[in-house]
Amino acid sequence: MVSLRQHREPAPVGLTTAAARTLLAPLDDAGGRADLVARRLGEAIRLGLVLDGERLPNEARLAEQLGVSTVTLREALAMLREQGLVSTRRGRRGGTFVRAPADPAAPLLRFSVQELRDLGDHRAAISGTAARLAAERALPEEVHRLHEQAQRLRAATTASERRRADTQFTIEVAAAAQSPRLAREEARLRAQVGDLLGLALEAGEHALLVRERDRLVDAIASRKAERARRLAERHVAVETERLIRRRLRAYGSA
Amino acid sequence: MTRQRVQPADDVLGDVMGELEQVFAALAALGARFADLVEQTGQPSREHVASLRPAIFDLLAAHRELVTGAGIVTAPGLLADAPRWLEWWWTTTRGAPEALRVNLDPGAPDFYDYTTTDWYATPERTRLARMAGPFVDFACTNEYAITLSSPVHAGGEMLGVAAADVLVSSVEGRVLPTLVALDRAVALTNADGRVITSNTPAVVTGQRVDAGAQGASSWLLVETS
Repeated sequence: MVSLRQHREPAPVGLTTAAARTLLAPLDDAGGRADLVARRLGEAIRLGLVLDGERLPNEARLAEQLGVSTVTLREALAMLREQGLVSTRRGRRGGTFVRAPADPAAPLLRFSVQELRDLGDHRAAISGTAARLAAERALPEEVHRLHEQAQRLRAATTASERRRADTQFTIEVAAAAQSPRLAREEARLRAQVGDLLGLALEAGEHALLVRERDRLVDAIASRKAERARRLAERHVAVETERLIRRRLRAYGSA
Repeated sequence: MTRQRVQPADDVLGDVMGELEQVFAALAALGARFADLVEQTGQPSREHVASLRPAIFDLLAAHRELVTGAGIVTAPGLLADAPRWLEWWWTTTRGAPEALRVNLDPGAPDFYDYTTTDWYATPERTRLARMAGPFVDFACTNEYAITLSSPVHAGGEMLGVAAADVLVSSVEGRVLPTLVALDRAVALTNADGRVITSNTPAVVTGQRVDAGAQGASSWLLVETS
């Protein structure tokens, strides 16, 4: 992995979409709260907003973006280094670089079963409401975009493509609900859960996921608000159950 | 559903509708300067487009109560040194306009493909100015906004758009003092029947009011009770 990254030119950082900016928005009252800064940056990395090998902006610029002092930022970067999410190189081509989590199952171990259940409850509340409101409020153009996004999900072949397409899908549903807050919340929740959903799916699970998303778009298109809510909630419930099953297995092999 | 009385928004909201017209006029002028620039340079660079910044800042200053962001967005392949480009500035709480940074690399996870947006694709197709939204601008500003865009063409070739963002909250601040003074429940909707704001809690922003909004070309006032 390390040798691969050394061959790659430092890429410009991509912390630019609204989702990224939400995560990296200047923190209110962030003075000295390096842990908060580290968590935000860690979320952006886990959401895949910053790719493996990508170089972060220099310290002064990143500190300014985040609205914290360079001292706080340095402390936060040290925490991320400890978690193995960034590495720092010296020299002309140097800087702080993003490192994707090495073990795909490792992120799951950060959550207890109880926390996974709670995360599922929160996601169901947000996704369910977003789906219901989208069915009530979406115009044909927005439904069309959802269809396209479901198509993109269908065409996804790798775990990261699938994760990205499905993240985009949930954010677009919240946008079709006409709610910036729900869209922001979906982005945040996906940041927390993103690398978990990137875990390899078992045979047939991808097709099932695509079919569920198609059904949800159909419900939104035909303005069946309650059905849309139920479908979105059930989708989260199935995903949560899958994650809990894997977490239980990890206890077994510990 | 009860029959809904509908009238053009201009009838009651002449002041704000007039200012939106002025914004469109300013965008057309900005777009014309951009077209001149393309003609003079043959193939312009980002630096050439940057020479339009004073005009963009003037537009932001002249309409600061309504407009939060404005700029030129170039057609893919037009510029010599960038396949896609937004010369886009928004006003911040800090005062001075700030450049909007989006990822224009098609391979990036957060690639911003503006060519598929309503405010770019629709004027490209129709060659007419477009008032897109209200929509959740999750890709850029994460605001609930309306985008006014004016296409720029040279002969048959699309060069890009000159566009401006207006927040729904800003429109609300301008129109609700007038609407709440009316003795009837009304909603201000866009041409597609999407509610921008209303003077009654029974009808909220973002909602669809289908009746009466068919085939409209501008914003409407729809009586809702």
